[in-house]
Amino acid sequence: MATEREIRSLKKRVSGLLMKNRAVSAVGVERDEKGHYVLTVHLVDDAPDLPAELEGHAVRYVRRGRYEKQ
Amino acid sequence: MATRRSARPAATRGGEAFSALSISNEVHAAKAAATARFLQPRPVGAFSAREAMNPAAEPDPAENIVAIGVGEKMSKGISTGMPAVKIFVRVKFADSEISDADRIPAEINGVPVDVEQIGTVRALKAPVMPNPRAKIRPARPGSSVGFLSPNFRMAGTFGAVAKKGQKLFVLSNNHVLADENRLPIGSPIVQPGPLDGGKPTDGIAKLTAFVTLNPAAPNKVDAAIAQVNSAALVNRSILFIGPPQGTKRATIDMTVQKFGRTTSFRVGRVVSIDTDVRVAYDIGELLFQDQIVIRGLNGEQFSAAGDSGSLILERSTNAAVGLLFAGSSTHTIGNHIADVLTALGVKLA
Repeated sequence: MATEREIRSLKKRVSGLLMKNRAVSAVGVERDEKGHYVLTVHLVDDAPDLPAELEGHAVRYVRRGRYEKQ
Repeated sequence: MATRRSARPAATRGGEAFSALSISNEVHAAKAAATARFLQPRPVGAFSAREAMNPAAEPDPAENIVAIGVGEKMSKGISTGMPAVKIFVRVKFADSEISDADRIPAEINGVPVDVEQIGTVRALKAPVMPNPRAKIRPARPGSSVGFLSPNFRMAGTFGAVAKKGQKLFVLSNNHVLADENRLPIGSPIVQPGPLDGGKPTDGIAKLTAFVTLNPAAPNKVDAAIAQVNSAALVNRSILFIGPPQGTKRATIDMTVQKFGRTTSFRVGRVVSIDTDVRVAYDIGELLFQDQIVIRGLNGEQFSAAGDSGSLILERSTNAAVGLLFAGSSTHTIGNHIADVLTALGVKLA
């Protein structure tokens, strides 16, 4: 189980690459349903070519739509 | 006909006995008879809650009985395990203070009666939410605010009163006070925003500074300030919530609250404090780094269009943690408040 610091470090390394995918609206560190820190990728649409793991850590994908100024 | 024996359960062992209590039809019938006798509707105007609060209320059952039900007979605070008609009174008088005419019977149709004092029963009143879209003077954070445009009408949220030396400012987003970098410094800011009826004569401040939104590089904040025309025109106390109590860094799982122009008061939970997110603006899709992500609680969205600029506060302390500026249909995005205040060189008033 990874620590928050480890997942934050992973996020800094991979966020730029993931955000180049137009189906990705955000990348951050969240807790999953079990309370574990996990790299969380927000999707606007289905994105079939995204990895299930990065650097040995599972990646969580969530569909949260497009973010707009409010 | 009910009897004490038939109504009494096999075992009487305090709380356990009550869970095994069997309420027979005879007990319910006795309760109905008591209701018909003591708890009839009263004409409008015959009851005054203020008078009923008077501890010198009379033992007259017509005045003193407020509710009737079925439950367990208690004796000097101890469970008896015996079903009873429960008669709830405003004040339980000593036996010596009650005339024979006012005395509640010990039994009704053979079922024991248990009298319990519960005071006056009143309808609970839901808190009254202020209308953030109204013209409010002095203007308060949480209310509608915006800029004047010849092409469209808009409204966002007055987030907080900020200060620098003796000067006071309205704090909100760049896109709420500066139209995404497009307005000149000195542009009037009105409360309420024009979408809510704000006119040129409703000016409370003038645009003083904004952090430029950059479509070509990562952003940290969507923030701007407008110096108030007069200190008397604003009050630092957020509608419904009260004044912010300093600042604090958001943490994952922190419960937060905000009051905004569109959804007014909402409570949410922080799910991330370092999310990189792409947000759609008129000037393009902008990337923001290390943002706060919030999910609404109680089955409600934390925010909607028009809530931008709201201050996000820790619910338990009222410490400011973020400045709301974006969202999707399910989640809200906020800047860290320390980043906002540092970028603008101000403090919360």
